[in-house]
Amino acid sequence: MLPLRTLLDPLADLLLGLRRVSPAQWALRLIGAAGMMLALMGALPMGLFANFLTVLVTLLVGGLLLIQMILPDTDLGIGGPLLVLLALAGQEDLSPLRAGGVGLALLASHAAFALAATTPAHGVLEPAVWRLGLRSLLPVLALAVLGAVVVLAVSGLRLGPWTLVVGILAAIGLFVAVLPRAR
Amino acid sequence: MTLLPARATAAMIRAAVVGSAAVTLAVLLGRPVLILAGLPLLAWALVALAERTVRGREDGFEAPEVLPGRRSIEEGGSAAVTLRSAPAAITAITVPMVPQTRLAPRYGSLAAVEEVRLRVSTRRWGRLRVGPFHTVVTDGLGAFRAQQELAPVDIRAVPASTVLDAPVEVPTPIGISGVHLSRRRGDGTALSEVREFRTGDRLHRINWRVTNRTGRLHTNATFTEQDTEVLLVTDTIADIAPAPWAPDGAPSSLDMTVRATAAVARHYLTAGDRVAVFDIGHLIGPVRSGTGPRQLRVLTNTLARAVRDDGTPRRARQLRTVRPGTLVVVCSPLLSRDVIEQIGVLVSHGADVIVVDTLPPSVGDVSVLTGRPVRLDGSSSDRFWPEAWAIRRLLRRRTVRELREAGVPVTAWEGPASLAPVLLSLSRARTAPRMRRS
Repeated sequence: MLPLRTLLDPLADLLLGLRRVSPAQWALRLIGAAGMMLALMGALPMGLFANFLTVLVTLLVGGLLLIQMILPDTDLGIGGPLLVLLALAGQEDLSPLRAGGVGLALLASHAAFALAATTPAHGVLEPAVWRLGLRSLLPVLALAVLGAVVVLAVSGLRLGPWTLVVGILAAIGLFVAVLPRAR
Repeated sequence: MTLLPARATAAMIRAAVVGSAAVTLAVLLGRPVLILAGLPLLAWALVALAERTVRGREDGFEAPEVLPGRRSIEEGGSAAVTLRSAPAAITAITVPMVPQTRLAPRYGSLAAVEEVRLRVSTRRWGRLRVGPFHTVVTDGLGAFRAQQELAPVDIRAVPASTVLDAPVEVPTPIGISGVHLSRRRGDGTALSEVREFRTGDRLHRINWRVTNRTGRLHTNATFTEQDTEVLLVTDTIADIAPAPWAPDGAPSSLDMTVRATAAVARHYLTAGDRVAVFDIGHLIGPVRSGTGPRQLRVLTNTLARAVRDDGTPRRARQLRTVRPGTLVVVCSPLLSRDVIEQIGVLVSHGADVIVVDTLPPSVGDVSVLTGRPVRLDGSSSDRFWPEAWAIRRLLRRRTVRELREAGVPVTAWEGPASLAPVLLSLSRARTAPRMRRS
């Protein structure tokens, strides 16, 4: 009787803990998970379990997603989008539509987890928070669309190998500009 | 204005790294289309940086502050604790759960914009300490965050002083003027007798009907009306918790004592009497004699300031003297020998003593005893506490009987109607015929 109880008690505690999670947090974390899964499916069009590599990527992303669902503020959350990006880079026939779709799914997942990290799991979000969050995303979407138009326009041009040096320098400059100095 | 230094969140790092990685991969592999996958996150990071600069938050967020609000509420009432923070920023607060208190939202964690309002409802009287407030301020995207711990807020829950369903008569009025009928004849409204007119009698009291019938001048004699001194003695030496099988929210002995004290005080203060409080257990502190609504306010505030029992035993304080004829209401669970002795001292000083029994009815309840160890929460204790309390309650019966034999009525506190029979019997005893002792 005792071993069964020791097995059941942590399970019961876990279920009781899940009951405390607020509806807003459930919504945000599920949006985050759904966004990441959509991005993964977009990055692996041949199927999540098509071959050994896709299975490995799916399991890794799934594991990291599970951790992020429990702890939305975890630094490990960086792993999932990077793996999706690498999976996308490994494909020869990548259409702009699919890349853009994966990007938007990653944005949805990222924004949901960022908002979920503002309160604990049992935290309640007032409607004003949702409104502010969505309002703040509007300029992000506008900038992303503008950037996509520029990228698509520039991608048609044929430039020399010197662009590689300029591009690398631009990427480093961007990284330095965007990355926060201290945490 | 105080600024809280803000730091980038994990989300900001994620967006910056993933966005930049997408650009780097696109450049290295010569496939600009890859940028599209990282562009939304890059845009997110850039907008967060731009918003930070535009709103002047490079040095941090405006520190949230607790707004002053109602800090004194009725037992069972609720108060709102409001925090004001930076505009267009998400402010999230988390407070630890407070015993005997309901929070809205339920688990004390809420995120709002600019103003966060947490509602605190009390189930019991006393001083509540809500907080400390763990406050997190983030921008609309959740890219930068500042946190602070704000000091807790004290809320006073004044004990509910229910209106007693009891007469206001007292056995021995000892004041000068008031509402209680005294045994002395004088200026009043209650008719004592109709007698012949004497020099000095008021003309408006002449009974013209009797004068006309008898042919001699007769006047109405009345009893004087007096107020009295009511002393409330509280026993806070120990707080006896209700038995585990008692319903949720059942009062402890201290709860019952404080509620009974507040109710009796309100009852007599409304009648115009002078009420004082003497606490045997040092928990409440003395309240000097006084009258009127102000005294009621002073008294309930003093009761509300009392800190709940921390389990440490306190020494009993002795009341040396009391004016003969004072109505003394002792609220006690009648478990301490010191309190019983104190009641004896009060009786010997000529006070009219009433004891309000504040031992929770579930403590020592024999109906749960079945001859087997009592099972609580699925397990039975081997310490036999329920049986021990049952024996203690049986022993206490003797004390109650001895008090009653000594002329001290003992009544259990069961709410507003508890004191009615005792006070009625006391007022009847006052007017009952007495044997003259030679």
